Amino acid sequence: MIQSTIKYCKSAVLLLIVVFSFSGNTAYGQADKKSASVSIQYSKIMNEYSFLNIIAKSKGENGFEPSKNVNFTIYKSDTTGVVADVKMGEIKTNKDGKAKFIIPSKFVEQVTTYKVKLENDKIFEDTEEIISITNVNIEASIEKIDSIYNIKARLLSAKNKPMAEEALNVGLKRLFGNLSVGGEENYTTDEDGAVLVPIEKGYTGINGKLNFQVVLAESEKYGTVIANINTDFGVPIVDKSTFNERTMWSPPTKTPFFLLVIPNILLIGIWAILTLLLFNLYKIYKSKN
Amino acid sequence: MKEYDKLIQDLAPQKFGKLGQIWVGFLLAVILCALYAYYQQLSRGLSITNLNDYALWGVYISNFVFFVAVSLVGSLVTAILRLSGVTWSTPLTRIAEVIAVAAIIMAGLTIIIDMGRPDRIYNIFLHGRLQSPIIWDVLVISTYLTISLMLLFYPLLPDFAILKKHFANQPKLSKWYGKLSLNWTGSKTQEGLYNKSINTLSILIIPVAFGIHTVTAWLFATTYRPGWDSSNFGPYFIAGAFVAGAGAVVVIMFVLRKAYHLEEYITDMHFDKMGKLLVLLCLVYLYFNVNEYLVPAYKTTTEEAGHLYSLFLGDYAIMFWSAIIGGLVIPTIALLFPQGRKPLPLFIIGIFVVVGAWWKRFIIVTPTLLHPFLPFQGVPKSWHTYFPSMLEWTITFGTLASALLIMTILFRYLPIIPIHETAEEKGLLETHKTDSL
Amino acid sequence: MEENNQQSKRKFFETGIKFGLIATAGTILATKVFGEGKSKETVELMTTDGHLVQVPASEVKEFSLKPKDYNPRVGFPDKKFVMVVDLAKCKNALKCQNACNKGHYITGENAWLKVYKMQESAETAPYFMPTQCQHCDKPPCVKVCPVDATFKREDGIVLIDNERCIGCRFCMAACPYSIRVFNWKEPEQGVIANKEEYTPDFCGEPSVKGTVDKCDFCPHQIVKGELPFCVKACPNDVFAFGDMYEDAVTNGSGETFKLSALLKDRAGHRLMEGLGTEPSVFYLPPTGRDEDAFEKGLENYNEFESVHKKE
Repeated sequence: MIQSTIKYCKSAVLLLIVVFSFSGNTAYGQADKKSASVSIQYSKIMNEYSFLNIIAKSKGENGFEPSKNVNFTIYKSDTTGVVADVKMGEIKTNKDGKAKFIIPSKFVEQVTTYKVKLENDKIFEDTEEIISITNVNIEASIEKIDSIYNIKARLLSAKNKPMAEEALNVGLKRLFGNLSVGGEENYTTDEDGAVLVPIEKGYTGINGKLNFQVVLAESEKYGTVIANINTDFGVPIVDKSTFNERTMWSPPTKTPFFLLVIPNILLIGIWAILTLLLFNLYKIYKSKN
Repeated sequence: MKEYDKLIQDLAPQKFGKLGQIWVGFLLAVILCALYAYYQQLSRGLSITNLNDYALWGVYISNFVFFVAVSLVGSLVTAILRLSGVTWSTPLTRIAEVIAVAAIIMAGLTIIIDMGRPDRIYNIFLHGRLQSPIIWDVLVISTYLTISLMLLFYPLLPDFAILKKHFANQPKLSKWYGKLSLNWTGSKTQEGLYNKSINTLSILIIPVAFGIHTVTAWLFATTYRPGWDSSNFGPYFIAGAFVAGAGAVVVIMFVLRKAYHLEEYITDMHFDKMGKLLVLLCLVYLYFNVNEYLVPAYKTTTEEAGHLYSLFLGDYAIMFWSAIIGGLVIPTIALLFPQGRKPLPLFIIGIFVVVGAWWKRFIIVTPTLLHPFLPFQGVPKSWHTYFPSMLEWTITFGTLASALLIMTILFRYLPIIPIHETAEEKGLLETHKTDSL
Repeated sequence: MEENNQQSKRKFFETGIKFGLIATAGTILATKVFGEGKSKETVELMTTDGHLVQVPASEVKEFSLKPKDYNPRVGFPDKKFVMVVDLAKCKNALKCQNACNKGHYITGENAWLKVYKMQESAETAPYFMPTQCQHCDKPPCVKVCPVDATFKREDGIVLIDNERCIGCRFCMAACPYSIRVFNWKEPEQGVIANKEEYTPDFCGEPSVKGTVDKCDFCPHQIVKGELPFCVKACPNDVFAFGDMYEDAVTNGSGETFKLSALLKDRAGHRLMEGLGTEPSVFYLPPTGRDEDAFEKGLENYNEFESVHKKE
């Protein structure tokens, strides 16, 4: 009777241990992990590099929250399935749940498939996102026609074929966004794959530098392609702040002269007299008769 | 000779009687409570008050303005009256100067109590900006304190010399009086320095006194707010300061006269004269009040209208009219009659004036802040009114008790009525000199 | 054969793509980049003379507006920040207020950005007006500060040094827009993300007992090239923020406008212009709204609360 009770207890304990080990070890159970929603966006900066913007979010208490410090592995994938995925690199999302992975140029082809994988994370389920991008180029330059500067841009395929009927944004790069140039939100390429946009006078820039951008924005096939044109025919920015002047709202090193002179003269005058009067006390103390 | 000795006997400092000890004990008890309350404020922050982001200055600041106002009485009685050749005020000069010194010391301490970070007070000296009215206030207050202390100390020199002899049977006390008298013998050299110095101080203190309260007024007048945005504020505050100070002198001279049996020296004549001075000052202050309130009431700009309504008919009406009528109008009327200027009536009127002056400053500080330019929204309902919390009151009473304690101690050890000057005026000095030859 | 083809294809595209100037490396490194990156990842880029270099990925990743000698009391050089608030679009959604409260860990009972229910007179239209620090060019608050704790920068932003403030509250009395708040007690902010060395650039991180706080125009966002919290959060594109010298402001949706044209077309104005404070916030009048836009906004209106407390 006792022996069977002991045996029963032993198996019960064993069962408990197994149950606890399963519930404690999150690496095993996928059910406890959160699911992250991952979006990727491909961008290419002409004559520089291409990159993938990875944004990871998960549902939290107050709506969607950024998924911080999540490790992603990026592969170059082959949709035909013939060649295995080639690992391009790894990257971690920052505190905003974002990561920018610069694609090493040797992996870029005419049509490239990128696979972003989240695996073996302690908090998040395994997931992956795939994006296929056809490589296109934008050639952009400044042309002066009748003393007016114009932006000329051509959208070309990887084989240098002009691409018509595509929308290009032509903008002047400003601190938080691009200001549309020429009055239209975007311009459609003609049969030569080209757009020509006049630049109005009066744009300002530091030392007259203006950075124009011709952008193929968030195309499904081509991603985002940005061509930068740096010019310097803008109006130079002149700082008009009163920061270096002596004003009533300046720090003590830039006190207005009136305040430096008059109050100090008054104070020095009064305190000089007071010092003399204190000295008089000393003279009274020292006087003999 | 006998008269001279009697003079010294009457005016020399005396030990505290039972009443005096109880009084000091009471003041110390209040101060101890206040210290505990301040400790609470240091650890928990200014949240122990009922201040908020709208009523951001309250009773601490109005108390500060009150102290600065009262401190002006030193310049009034000691300096202005002296320079005008008035002699009846001689017995009152020391009282006035002691009140001034106690008030200005407490003004400095009270403003520190209002600071959110008193531990960073050194920043005022390290990073002070001359563009700020607060820095001007710091500069004039320290200047005024120095002048007041000197104007208190100089006339004490001959008195200390007298007391050194008088307390010959108490060696320790005598030694202290001797040290403080700076070897005063009344010689020609010393008299010359003495007179020149006191004259200089009397002249100097007047513009500084005007400066101190004008600058304090500018703490409000340099802002845009209704009720504060007034070009009248400097003179208005100074006129009010003289009223508050004169009222304080009247109250304290009555108490001291009774406590130290100085009826021979502070006579009915003195009360009558102080009463006349007080009514004159009240009339001037009434004139400034008329300017300050009736002119905006005529224009009723949007901001001013709301503010004036709350003072005349709204939340602060009772406080406003009590302070104006009880603290200014009724005293003025009463003081126009000779009966009103008898010692006891004048004492009571003086209390009304001082209390009225204290509440008047409360009315100047907080109601304006509760009428911001933009709508009063987005904050709890309780923020729409302000009345100090228990701890705030405790600290405030603590500062008032401290001022009274400083005065009490000074009156205990200093001759309340200047002995030397009184003797001089009564012509006793000559006889004393001839007798001792 | 396949392999060779693929190899040559690859090579072709490699050269085609790698005609990268490192003007890349040159420009990017020269244009004031300071990287937070501690990662050892490198990116393969080509120099002008055809050499392949490994550039630390961190230096090609982060954008920062800070020059090498950045001083929080001077600010970002050659800029003047302005905000445009379109009263015609405000529906009192209060997303701006919530984002600001959350982003700056505000725990008091008074928000730094408040949406006022305005009605100047019984005959004129009511509307909602988001109001935060106006970052005046002639700031009355800075004028009166005795210890230089609040200061105006060269880029127009007015900030507070919470390590120097003595808590006299003169600035609060001087401000006609009532936008400053005081930390009357120890702020219970809990764990603050990114707890780095204190800088006036991020007001509220942390808030200091006994000192003043206010809207800081989010220099901590600007440095990353991002818009302030309120601008990003508004679902109705009420706010637009930018550099007046660039004559451009951008709203939460990323649309950029020419500032001078916007102010001219929509007749922009500033608050309490007659006081002479010269604010940096422009308001566009509440014209052309829907009939019931104001009424709908009243649903969200709470006269006595601007900071939501977690229960």
